[in-house]
Amino acid sequence: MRTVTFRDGQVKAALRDFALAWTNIAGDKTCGESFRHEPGEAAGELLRGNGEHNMQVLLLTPRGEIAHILAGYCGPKDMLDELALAKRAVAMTSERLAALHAEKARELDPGAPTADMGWCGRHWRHRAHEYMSTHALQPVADYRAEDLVGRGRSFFGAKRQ
Amino acid sequence: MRSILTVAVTLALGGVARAQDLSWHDSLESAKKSGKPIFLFRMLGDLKGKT
Repeated sequence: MRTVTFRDGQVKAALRDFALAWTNIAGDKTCGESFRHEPGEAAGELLRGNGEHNMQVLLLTPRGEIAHILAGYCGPKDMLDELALAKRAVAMTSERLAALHAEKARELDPGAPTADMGWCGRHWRHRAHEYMSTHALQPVADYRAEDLVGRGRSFFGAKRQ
Repeated sequence: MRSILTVAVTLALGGVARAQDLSWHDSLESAKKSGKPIFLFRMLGDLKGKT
């Protein structure tokens, strides 16, 4: 994410509408393992949703309530779409927000991968909307990653040859 | 020789700047004070250092 998505000029411009914060989840009971990377190391090829246990983006209202959520890797083009959705989502009531995410979940049949989005991306996009349909405006302090990505732990690594 | 060195230095600095040229709050509480929607990146490792 940091060497591809956060480097993209359009993503950086869109992120100006947000306050950016990050947290290291090492030690979290759902966090898996990964290769170690230098900050400027060239990124390996990743698909949407890769590394869902090791990275998530929570898009919050200014009060710290979850309006949208992303599990795993999200490339620049997808991130622009998700940020646009998040800008709308943070202004919604919990009822309207839940309905929006339920509709998005229905649109994303997880059993039907497409050429532009394989099983992994479709599954985690679907799962995120499904989660939000029942956790709209959840206080971030109550968020438990295992409720989104499951209790399993995994290794995920990508290396450029 | 000078052009080769210039390219090498540019590439090295460019790599480090990728995450750091965005302005990140040190904590969620700090981000809340901005009054903006919040982008909270939960990640394994250090955003600005070796992960």
